[in-house]
Amino acid sequence: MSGFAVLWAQAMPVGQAVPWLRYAAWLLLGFAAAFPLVVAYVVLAERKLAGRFQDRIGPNRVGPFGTLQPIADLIKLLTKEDIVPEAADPVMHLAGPVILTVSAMAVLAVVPMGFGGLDEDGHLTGLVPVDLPAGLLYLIAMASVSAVGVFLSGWASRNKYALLGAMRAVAQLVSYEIPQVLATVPALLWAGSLSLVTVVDRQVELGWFVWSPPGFVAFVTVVVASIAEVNRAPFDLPEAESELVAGFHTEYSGMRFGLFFLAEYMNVFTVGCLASVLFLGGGALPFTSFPKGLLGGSVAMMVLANVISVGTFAVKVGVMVFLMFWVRATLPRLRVDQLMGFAWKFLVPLGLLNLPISALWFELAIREPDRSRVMAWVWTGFLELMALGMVAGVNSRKVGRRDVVGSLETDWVA
Amino acid sequence: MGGVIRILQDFEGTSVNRLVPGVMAGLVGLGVLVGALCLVTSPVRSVFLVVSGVGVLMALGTVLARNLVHSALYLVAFFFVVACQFVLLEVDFLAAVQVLLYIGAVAVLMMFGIMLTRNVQGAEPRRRGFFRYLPAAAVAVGMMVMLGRGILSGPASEGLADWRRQTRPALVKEDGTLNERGKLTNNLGLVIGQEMLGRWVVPFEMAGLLLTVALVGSVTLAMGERGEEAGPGRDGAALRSPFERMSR
Repeated sequence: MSGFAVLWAQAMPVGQAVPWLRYAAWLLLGFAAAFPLVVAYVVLAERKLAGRFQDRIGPNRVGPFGTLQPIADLIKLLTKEDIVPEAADPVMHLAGPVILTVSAMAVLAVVPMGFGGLDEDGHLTGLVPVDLPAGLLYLIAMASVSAVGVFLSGWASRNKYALLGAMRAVAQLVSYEIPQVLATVPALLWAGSLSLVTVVDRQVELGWFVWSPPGFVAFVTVVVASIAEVNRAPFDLPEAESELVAGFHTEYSGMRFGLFFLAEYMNVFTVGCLASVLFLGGGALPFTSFPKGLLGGSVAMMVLANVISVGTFAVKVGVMVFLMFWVRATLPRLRVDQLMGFAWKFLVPLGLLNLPISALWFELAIREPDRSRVMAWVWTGFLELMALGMVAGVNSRKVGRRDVVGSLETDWVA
Repeated sequence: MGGVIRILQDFEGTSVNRLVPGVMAGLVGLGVLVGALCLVTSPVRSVFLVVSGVGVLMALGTVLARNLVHSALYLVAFFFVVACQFVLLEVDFLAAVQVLLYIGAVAVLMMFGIMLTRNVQGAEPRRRGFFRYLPAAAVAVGMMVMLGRGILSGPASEGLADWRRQTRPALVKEDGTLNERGKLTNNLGLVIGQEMLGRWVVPFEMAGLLLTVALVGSVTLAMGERGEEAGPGRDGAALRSPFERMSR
């Protein structure tokens, strides 16, 4: 996490005065250095943890406790031969991984990693490359571009496994985008803005959005749908090893394969960031607005507040990433019909039912923040249980061979 | 450079193959010339012109590419250029919507459609001929003239840009408060939401109703009549065919 030191450049007065210096710092030190480094060590963490989960040791040969393993992997990938199949479409074959990586990187441009400074109205400015007024929309839009990259790499390989993997991937990405977007709506509704910095700022004021029945349901939905969006187990059908060799990236080797790897783990990191920013308060500590108070003071206090908020954020992202590793090591892969059924029959109705309940929470708890939240908890909690029961009940009503799917789906969340 | 040559190779074997590289080179040359001229007078406008020039090239690629998937990819690039233009016009909300809807949904569904219905690898060249383009060109030019007239003759609201004027009003008024355009730029999502559920609520709901009807209709069509469910015996050949064709 050494790279984070440089990201404070933004919080400093000089960074505010000269915008291009700020952008250059983010590009050179963030996107070209810190984020790939974080991703490299996320890969190492996954391998070590998967080793623990499977009662193995994991990589431990390169450097102390295997800590230099990512560097060795990188050198290996860079020096391996870059094979393009003879029948492949050469330009598209290259464009696939490039589009995927660009989409994975571009998403991070609006994620606030910490508190930043304060503006004239006392709101956070956010430790973020660009605070777009439509930040969340931008994030979802750039993430949806990855479907084009996956499709192109599968299509251009001229390989049946790759094409099948691409078809599965596109169907899955299109399906899970809907519950993902539906589940982000409560956070937007409560924050009153699409800007992720404002979402964090409101959570410092009102408490984390996950502390409410609709918020919790939306949080779980957004995590599940995002795991499916980034093709991770148990939703990794597009690259199911036992059926499709490696799915859409079967015909890739060397650094082109490395780009797929980079994009996948970058996406894991982004899912952690998204869930933390939308529902876990970003860099905010639980039940207190503590480091925000330091921001108005001297430069040293400002740096301290940012260290605290970036550290808090990193812990949250780390917990989310660990959760994803845990799920991957624990759950078996879904069947295709289970995958589609889970999105369309369970997550989408739940997301739709969650919207009016979130609006009720807004009326009862957020519009007047000083009022006791007991009634809001009772009402929305009751309605949320009703909604869950309704969706689960409808899905498991029919009994028969086909409804193994339904019962499995309900076991998943309830 | 290799990429450019391959793009040009896309046009080989078409009836306009001699014309297209010349047109493209001419457009690039013109773009460079105009860009150099404008860079002196107005840097932002020259960036806009360069981006628009790339957009024109991508549009040409969409129409003229031999391979269907390449054509779709040119279209994706064109949509992206439109998003870039929105960014240059300071409406990042519309840029994000453009990418989300047109690249994330429409283009992806189009590619999905190509995979399901046509020759999967798209290697089969499309039939073409110069006269096939004429009706399409007439429709396109007619549409452009109509939209252009409509947009140019529309009056501008207070504090917003008039399309006939070349400068845009400032974001902040003299007294320090935000201008109409400043408010829009700061939180366009909020403004669009209020407009859609206020002044335009009836057309908005009608569009929703129309989409629901389309959805139900397509489900009805896809379900078919009862008892005609696709089984592996009857429809298996149709389902397998794309992959058989690919392996030939």
